[in-house]
Amino acid sequence: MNRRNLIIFAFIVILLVLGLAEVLVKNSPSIQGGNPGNNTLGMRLGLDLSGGTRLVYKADLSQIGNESAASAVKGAIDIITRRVDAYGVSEATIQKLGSDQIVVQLPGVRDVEAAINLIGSTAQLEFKELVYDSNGKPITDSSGNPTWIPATAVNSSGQEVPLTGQYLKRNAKVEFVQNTNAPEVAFEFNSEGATLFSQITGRLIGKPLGIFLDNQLISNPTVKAQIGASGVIENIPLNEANNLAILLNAGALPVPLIGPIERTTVDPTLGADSIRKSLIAGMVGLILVVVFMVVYYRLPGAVASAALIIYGILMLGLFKLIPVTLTLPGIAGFILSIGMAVDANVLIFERLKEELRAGRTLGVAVETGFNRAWPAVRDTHVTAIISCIILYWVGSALVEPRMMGFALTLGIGVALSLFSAVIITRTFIRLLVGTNVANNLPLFGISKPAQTSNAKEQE
Amino acid sequence: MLDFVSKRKWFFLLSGLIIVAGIIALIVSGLNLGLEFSSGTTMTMLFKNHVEQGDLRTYMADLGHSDAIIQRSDQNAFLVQGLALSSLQSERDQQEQQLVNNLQTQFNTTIRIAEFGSAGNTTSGNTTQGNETLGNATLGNATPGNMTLALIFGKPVAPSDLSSELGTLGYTGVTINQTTLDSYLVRTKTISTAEQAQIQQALEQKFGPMDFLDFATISPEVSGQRVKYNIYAIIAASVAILLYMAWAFRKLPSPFKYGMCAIAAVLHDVLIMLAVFVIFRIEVDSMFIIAILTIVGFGVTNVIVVFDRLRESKVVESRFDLATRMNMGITETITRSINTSLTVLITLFALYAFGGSTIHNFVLALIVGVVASTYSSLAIAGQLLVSWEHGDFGKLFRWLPIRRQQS
Repeated sequence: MNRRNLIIFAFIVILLVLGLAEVLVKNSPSIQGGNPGNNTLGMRLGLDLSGGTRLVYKADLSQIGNESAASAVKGAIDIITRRVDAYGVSEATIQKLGSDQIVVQLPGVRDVEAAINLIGSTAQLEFKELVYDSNGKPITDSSGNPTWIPATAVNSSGQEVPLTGQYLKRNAKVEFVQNTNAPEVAFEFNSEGATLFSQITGRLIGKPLGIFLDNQLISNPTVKAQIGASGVIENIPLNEANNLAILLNAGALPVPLIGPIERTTVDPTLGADSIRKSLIAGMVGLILVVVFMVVYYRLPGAVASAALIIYGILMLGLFKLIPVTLTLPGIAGFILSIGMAVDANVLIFERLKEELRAGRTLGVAVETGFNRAWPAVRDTHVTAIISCIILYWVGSALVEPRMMGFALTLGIGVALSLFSAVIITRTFIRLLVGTNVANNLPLFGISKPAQTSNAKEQE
Repeated sequence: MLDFVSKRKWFFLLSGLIIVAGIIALIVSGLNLGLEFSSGTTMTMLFKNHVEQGDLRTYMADLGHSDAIIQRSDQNAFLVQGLALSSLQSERDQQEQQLVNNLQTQFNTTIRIAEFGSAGNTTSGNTTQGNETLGNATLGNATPGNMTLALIFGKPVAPSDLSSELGTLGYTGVTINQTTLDSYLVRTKTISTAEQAQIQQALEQKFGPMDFLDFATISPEVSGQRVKYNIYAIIAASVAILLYMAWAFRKLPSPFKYGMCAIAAVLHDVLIMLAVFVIFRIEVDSMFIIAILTIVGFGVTNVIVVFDRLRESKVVESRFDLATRMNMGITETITRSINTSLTVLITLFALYAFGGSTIHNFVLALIVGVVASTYSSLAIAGQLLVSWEHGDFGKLFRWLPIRRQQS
């Protein structure tokens, strides 16, 4: 029991305490900051566990040039983010997928019709006026619908421009008419918009002003007096009034969106059920593995089991620290990694047994056993990490949290299991060297007296 | 010492038979591709009134969905009327979610919820002509009083228990009816959200109130993208592992052969997994690809452990031929291979038994893969290397007729 081992042992104990603290303290710190999540585990959950909806939209870039495509998609993402925030979905993520697609993930949202309407609208607000014939009657098209044309006015630089939503201040809100309690949306123009609006309303007194959202008429009040900076959109049901206010404040999308081209929903209750079941599965798996290890490998098995439990605590601590977004495959990856973490120990113990059978003392057997096992342990871990990296790469290219979650948890698990086997287990066994148990071969699963390695060939 | 190498023809034959059976099944019945890879729409329709499957099929065909695959899945539900809910959908969604969360904690089961009588509440599709139309289209908006909620419990619950629990949550004066509702799982070609609203409107006119319990749609573009990336992933993983193995076994003659045989063994595992999924018509989705890539990593691990013994100096310096050295490697590692697979299988079986139905197919794929890769590391990988070094594959065409003459 030399000093170096004791120092490493102390280091492991400190790590364990830190890991436990990270797991148990509800609002423990994470590298990215912020609260990892409000659930019982205090972890950030993926859509498949929190429940919610995943939507994929495609930006219609046919009308704009290649060079502005990237900025248009980025602009659309910013505006969708504002809309979703205003709608009140917490922890929503909006990300780019490929060159022209946008993935919107709305945790907890079950009924997404309203969200879809909100996200997919281009939200181009336009003000239009009717065209009149010589008798002062509105001109209609062949099916009898009135013809609307954009209402234009002269701006501060002397140009005739149409009045649109781009001149709005971002402070539209839903109000209720005093007597009738009917909802309406109040909006306000900036100074440039006010100049235009006052010219147009001055011109249209006694005539209807058409307010269009994405080419659909949403209101056509008759202008009663010339107004400047502000106005209201009346006669609008409450649901739509709320959405309209959100859309006006978030602004219009720079490009129209096609879709959703993908829409999948996980019921939040299913997600909660999955967490519970996975936790049980993890516990059962861990206990069974521990039983197997102790029965088959005796003392080293018990040592490895202790290492395994430390490993589990450190894993959970890392999940919270990084933080890893926990998904169902992620949990499966974690549980699977328990099984795989044992592998490194099994490899080493098989070597250890060979050395002990060959009649070496525990001290020598530990060192040769570990050294002999090392190339295989290293190579198996590297190849496992290679496939995790590739899985993660594909997962992030497809913005597919299930794949990323699985790759990340399994990858961290594989890396940590290397540490667990090479540092934790080895230190624990080294600490046994020189004690009485070191000479008790049955504790290491060896019943026969020491024999030469040649004898093994004759078995 | 065990002799696994000289029996290699039988191992190759066994694996070959399974893989060929898989290929035949693939040709005959094809792969049961999940939505993610095949594109399309799946939805669970829940009807308040009785709807015959034949009537639904006929009407869906009338709506232009003659390709729809319709499966009946009756749901035991509670119809709850008179809940004081917001008329604002976003608020109502939150209220319903809160309600479901509370009930779920109380009754310790999964609960799904559907709304009857709220059709088109936010999708005012016909707002093109003036205020009047806009007003009318949405005045039919669900007033919470006349809306019925359907609550579907994961396990039987007494109506009186639900009633008292709703009272505790502050919902008084509600009426509860326990009933069995007609529900259909419908799969069609890709349907857009706008079309979904039209279908709902049409179905409600024909059959009365209905709601979608769930609705998933994936366009061919998205599914194509997924297939492409997943194929890239498997190729990239194979190449990266091949290169690493060539490096790890650089001290042995022809290290690339070790890598190639490891990859061949892993491809064998993947083919076995595919064969099982094709033969038993189990759905293949993204999770299956995750399972495949995991087994690629796990399988190579198993092969490396066996090959690892061949690069040890005492083996390299021994005068034994490759077949004997391979047998030595397999004999020395068989305990480890079986023990590791056992520990992994233990955790997988725990996941299968307790982990919930959503990951059953995923865990099943991993179980098949782990068994296949344990087998292939002991019975395929090394044997392929020996066959390659002996020139068996070059002799294959001569070898077949020779065997016939002998027998």
